[in-house]
Formats: sequence, C-alpha cells, structure tokens
Amino acid sequence: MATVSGSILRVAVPSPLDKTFDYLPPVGSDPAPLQPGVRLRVPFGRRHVVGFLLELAPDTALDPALLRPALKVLDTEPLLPADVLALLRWAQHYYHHPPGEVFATALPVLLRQGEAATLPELLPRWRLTAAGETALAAAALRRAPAQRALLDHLAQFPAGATAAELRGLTRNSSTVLRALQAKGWIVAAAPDLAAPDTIALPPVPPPPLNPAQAAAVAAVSAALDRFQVFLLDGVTGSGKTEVYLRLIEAVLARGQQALVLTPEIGLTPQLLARCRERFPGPLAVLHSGLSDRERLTAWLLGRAGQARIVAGTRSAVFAPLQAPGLLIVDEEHDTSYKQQDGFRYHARDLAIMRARYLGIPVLLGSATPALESLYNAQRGRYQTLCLPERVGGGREPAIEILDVRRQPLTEGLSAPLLARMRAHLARDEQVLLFLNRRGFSPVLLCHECGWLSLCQNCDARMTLHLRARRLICHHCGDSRPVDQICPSCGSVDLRPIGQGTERLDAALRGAFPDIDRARMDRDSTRRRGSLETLLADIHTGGRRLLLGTQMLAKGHHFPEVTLVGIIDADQGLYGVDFRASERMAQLILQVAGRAGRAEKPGTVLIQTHHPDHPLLRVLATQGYPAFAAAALAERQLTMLPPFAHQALLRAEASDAQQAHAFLDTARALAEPHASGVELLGPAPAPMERRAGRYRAHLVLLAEQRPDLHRLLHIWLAQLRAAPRQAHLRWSLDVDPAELY
Amino acid sequence: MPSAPAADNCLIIAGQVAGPCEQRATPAGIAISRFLLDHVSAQIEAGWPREVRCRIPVMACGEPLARIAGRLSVGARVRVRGFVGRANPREGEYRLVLHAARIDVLDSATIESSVSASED
Repeated sequence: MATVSGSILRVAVPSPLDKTFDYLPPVGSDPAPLQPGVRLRVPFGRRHVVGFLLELAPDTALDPALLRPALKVLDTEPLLPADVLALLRWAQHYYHHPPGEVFATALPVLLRQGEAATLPELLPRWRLTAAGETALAAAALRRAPAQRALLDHLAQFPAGATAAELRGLTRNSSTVLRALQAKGWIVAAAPDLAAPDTIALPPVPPPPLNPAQAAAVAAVSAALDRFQVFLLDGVTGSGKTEVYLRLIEAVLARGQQALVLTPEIGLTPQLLARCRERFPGPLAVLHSGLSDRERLTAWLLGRAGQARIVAGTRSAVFAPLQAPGLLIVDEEHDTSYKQQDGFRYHARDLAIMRARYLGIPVLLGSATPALESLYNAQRGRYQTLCLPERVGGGREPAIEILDVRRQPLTEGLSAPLLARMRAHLARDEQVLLFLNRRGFSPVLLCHECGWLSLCQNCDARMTLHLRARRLICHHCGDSRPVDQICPSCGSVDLRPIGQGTERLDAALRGAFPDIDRARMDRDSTRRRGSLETLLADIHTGGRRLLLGTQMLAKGHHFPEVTLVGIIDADQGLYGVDFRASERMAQLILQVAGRAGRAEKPGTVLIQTHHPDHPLLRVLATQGYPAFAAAALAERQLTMLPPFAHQALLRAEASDAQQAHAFLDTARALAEPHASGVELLGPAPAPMERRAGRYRAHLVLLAEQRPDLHRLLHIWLAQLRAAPRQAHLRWSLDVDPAELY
Repeated sequence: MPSAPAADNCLIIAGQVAGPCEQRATPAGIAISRFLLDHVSAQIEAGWPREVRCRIPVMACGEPLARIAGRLSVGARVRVRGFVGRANPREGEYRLVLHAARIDVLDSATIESSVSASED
C-alpha cells in the first residue's frame, strides 16, 4: 500500500521498549492538528494508550499494511513547545532511555491519562470601579475599615484580584466584597488574558543591592538575549535570592517568564514566599505534593503564559513556557536534582541544555557549588558571579573542630558542646543541633550475646523507633515490633546503640528541661502542616533548641541561631562513595549557614573522632573554596568525575550469582567497543542486598565523553537483545550521582 | 529461640547491697534493675574454717523483681536466688552476673522487712 508522504505517525508510547512506534493517521481525521507534540490515543497490544506524536515520517521500515491507525488526536495544538521537544529528544539519547518513559516524565499524570489540556474556567477578578476610586479618594469609608482595606488593596492592582487572593485581608471577605459590589464600587469580571498582570508598586521596597549583588544582576541582565551559564557562587546569607528576584523582575518587565527550580518545595518556602510578595499575580508551583489536578492547572498556567513565574522541583525542568526568558537552578549542588530511578536525568544539566535551545541565560546558584560546576567555571564554560560577603555585614560563622576522642559523651554530646550550649541558651539565643540520622538508635544490640537487629531483606541494620516501639529498616521499609527478648539467646537485656534524633531529643529534654525544643525530621513532620507549625514556633522564638536531620539544613533562615552543633561529622568522612566528602562538606556548610545571620555572630562546633582529617581541616580553617580545590585535585589524580565521565550499569536479582553473571556478559559485550573507556567490575553494590535483592554494578569510565556514548549506543542495543534471567533487572545510569 | 541443653545453674547467695540500684527499661519496655551485692561469710574449706568475701552484680529483670530491687537501699541485707551468666559479650571476658529469680529482703532499716518476690 502506498502512503502519502509524511503520513506515518512516529509515536512515543509509554513502554519500557527502547523504540518509537509507527501508526497511520486516525481514519477520516483532519490532518491539520497532526503536528509533533500532540497526544494520540493509539492501540498498543490489546490496550489503548496515550502516545505522543514525535514526528511525521515519509515512510516506515515496517510493512505499511501492518500499521494500525491511531484512534484519536487528543490535542488541537502541540502540547509541548519545540524547546521541550528538543530537550526530551536530547535527553532520550544522552541518558539512553526509552522514549515512551522519557516523554511521559514531561507530562502531568492527567495528561498522560488523556485528559484535555484546557485550563479550568478562570476565576473572576475583582476590580475597582471609577465610583470606587472616587469613594476611596474621598475617604468615604472611615468607619468601615474592612471595606477600606479591600479597596486600598485593589487600588494597587489594576488587573484585579481573585476572591481567594483577597481572603487574607479581612475577616468575612466575601461579605465585604458583596457590600462593596452593592455600592457599585467594585465589579467582578473574567480576567483579561491579553492584558499582562500589571505589577503595581511592590508592597515592600526591595532591599538595596551591595556591589557584588549589583554586579551579578548586571552581568546576567546584559546576557538576557543569549545562552550563557552563570554560576552564582555566594556564601550562605549573601543574598542570592535577591539577585534571583531582581533578574526575575527584569525578565518579567520584558514580558517573559522565569522558571525557578528548587530541590524540595517544602524546604524552600521562603524563596516562594518572597516571589509571591514581590510579584503579585499567578505563580505556578509544580511539585509532587500537589494533587494531580493542581499540578495540571499549574502546568497549564505556565504553558499559557498566565503564570509569569513557574517554580518547581526536578521535573519542572520540562514545564512548557510560553515566553521563557530565564532559568534559575537554586542550590544547584543538591542531589535531589538527579532522578534516582527510571529515567535517571539530572535536572540541572537539562536546564543548561534547555537554556541552550532557547538561547537564554541559566543561573545556577549555590553556597557550595558542585565540584562539576566549579570545574566547568574554571574551564570558562560557566561565568562565575561571586557574592563573597553576607548582606548587612553579617559575618560567616566560625567553624571549630571538637575532638571527642577519649571524651565521655553523654548521649552523643561532649561536655564542651554542652557547656557552649548552656552559655548560648543563657543569653536567650537559639541553638541548632544537626544529626543526620532519624529514629532513636541505628541499631539494637543484645548485651549478652552480641546479636544485632539486622534487616532480613537488606545488608543493613534496623533502626529503633522507640516511641513507636518498632524496628524499621530505612532501606526497604520493613518493620516489626521491637523484640522483647533477644531472638538469639533469649536475654531481655537489649540495648539501643548509637544516636538518632529521637534519642537526642530525649537527652536534651533531660539536660535542658526548661527549654522548648523543636525536632525536625521526617518522623516528627509527617503530619500535614506540622512542619509549618514547627517553623512558625521557631521563628517566634518559642522553641530555642532546634535539632534535626538535613531537613534543618536546607533553605531555612533561623536568624536567632548563634550556635550550631554538628553531632557526628564522621559519617561522611570515610564513605564508600567518592562523593561522600563533597556531600559532607556541603551539608556542614549548609547547616553552618543557618547560624548568625543577624548582628550576632555564629559559631559552628563539629564533633569528630578524626580531627586531623585533611578535608575537614581545610573546610574548617579555609572554607569551601579551599576544600573544593583540594577535593578537585584529588579527583584529578584519581581520574574521577569531573575529570572523567562515568556511567553505571546496575543489575539486581534475587540471586547474587545471576546479577554478576549478567554483568560479566555485559562486560564481555562491551570490551570490543571499549576503546577510550575503562570497565571496572562487576562489583557488588556498597549495600549488596536490599529489599531481598542482590545488587551489583559495572562502572564505565572515560576521559572523553564521546568515547563513552559511542560505546553505550552500540552496547545497550546488544544488552537489550541479550538473553537474561526473568527476574533480573538492570538499568543504566549516565553521570550517576551515587553508586547505589 | 535458644536451643541450649538444660543443665544445672543455680546460685543462692546472701549479702548486703553495695551501691545504688541502677534502673532502666529495655526498648520493649521491660524493667531492669542492677545492683552490686557484697557477700561476707564463714565457710569450711579443706576441713578448715575460713572467711570468704566476694562482690557480684545482680540483675533483676521484669517489673515485680525490678521494683523490689529498685527499693533496696545501700546496706540492705538480701538473699538472691538465680542463675549466673556472663556480664558482657566481649571475648575473653569471664565476669559473671547473677540473674535474680527471687529476692528476699532479710534486714533493712529503710524499707519494710522480709519483702520477697520471685518469678517462680
């Protein structure tokens, strides 16, 4: 059967197969909407699925007579703009991941299910009438303060405001609105999408910029019309957010949109709050805490250009924008930008690619940039913008190393740390303790026979959660009631060994009975809203002893904190992963950054059994830049990223032998093509058994990226075709962020 | 569960409480009290009378026993019956601890006399 040129539909179908599928246009369909980027309902096996049209091809490698027609075109215009389509295609090839899954990642769940891509009906906006303006000017409302407050507010927003936006201004705002409407002073009208949201005078005047901030703003502002990566390297408290806000302002003034990526929305509420304060009008926020409906609405608002600012976590890098002007990646070093399963992309790296396609600048911000980013800046690929000083003249906290060898520790706390805590608390200041381990204790031990609470599915210990009286494996989630007697010898004398935040909390209650504590970890903030309540309590000074895991380290400002104690820095010093020390340094500095933001200088005490560890010393005495230089020198000597390019082939099976056998085969397949690529392994994963499965990996290391990708391209096709055990699973991770 | 053979292991010893009683609970909520017992007595050995002195830690596990032990004051005279086990799991360490099954208070100035409790 002859086909008309261009009438084969090449479709990404949600499936793990690394290929696209060809279809014929729906029978009797209008060809006009058949453009790359629209969704199609297509038959797939015996199911009907939602596919994504990638291209119109002139012909097919298959027998056209065997092609099935698509059932329906779901969109009248492309759902994703050209830059996102290009980004996804690039990512698909770079990460060597099946197109169906790559394209599915870019769409909100409801769109993947075939929902219409239309915004729900827009809420009416209340606006001041001429009569209302007269009334306001004549001060007619002296005796109706609630009405007056609403009119005052509306006077600032010519584009109007929705009832929801006005709700916070007075009590009973809907009654007040009706009263004002009855007087003819305000009207409700459907929003006029053509008119941009006029930005009235910001309610709070922006703080003045210091010279470094001004230079950063000027540098990026001068490059708004071209692609350029900027690394905003600013110590904690140096006002990176203000730089973002000024640039967003500049971009909005040009009628463009800004996309802001943050590691975790719940942990960076302050950035969003400041955006809302400065830029009234819809701000679309995309993160996993939203309902599917909310997520779709936010996504569509950005796509339609109604939301001038789109903020979100990792997957927001794919959010379509109508007029993109600037991409911002806050805390660019954060590992949560890397997807750890399925389609393992890195949102920071994709943001850079996207900016390149768009020809716009991308701004990476961090107080502790990733070594990869610093290296790129050194080589001139990124332009560095330094903010070396804290705003308002605050000093960076001094870091002191506290040698706890041979020191008696009370529940993990040394006497010098306790004494310093007492002194700061006596001055009514806040103290923050950081311990990156939740639960009561990381293991339960039988004092008589030495039995340990090991997980039966993982090479890991089960953590004791005392309040819940359960042992929980933090790796596979398995849990059981805490043992009454030792399963091995029957003794009742089972003891919790080591410290978690729950135990630290109990110890502090004993040591400082009169001081209110705030514990922040995943367990204590599980209830919706509990984190917000806790933060509010901290900010009003109600709780002066703060303790927690890395939840405390990210993004929050605690201006009254003057002492930070890092209970156990040793976890990160000798990790298996070559990035362990980098992560530890970043975490220590992020925690340290919470201290001494206001006039009061802060101090950071690091408890360690390795006070002479060279990287820890450099970090404490010379700061992050010196640490990063030393760590980079070490990476160069050992030829590790960023001086080499890595890919990791992971395999897991219920039997260790199977995983290794598969990787041996994989290695043999790779060897003929491995010029320029070093193959290391197979080796067991750092935690070999997890959730009952044995895991192993093969590391690929190449000095030149093209060598690596040439190999991957040939090799993956062979791997996919290779026979393997039914229960074996494997995956490829390009630029892995961790070994497992 | 333990599969060791049944074998004799019984110690009855009287003495004075030598120090304050430590009290704690295991994560499962089982009460454990521990105190040191000083023993002094006259015994016959190789046909000759002699004096014997020793000190042994006593563990009292479970609510009834732990409560009795917890109320003992320093100097109280008690008789403890139970089995002995190693005091800690480290290799090469042979110190013993007496796991009480019954504690009889023989004489105490501060608490009611001849209180006893047992697991039997």
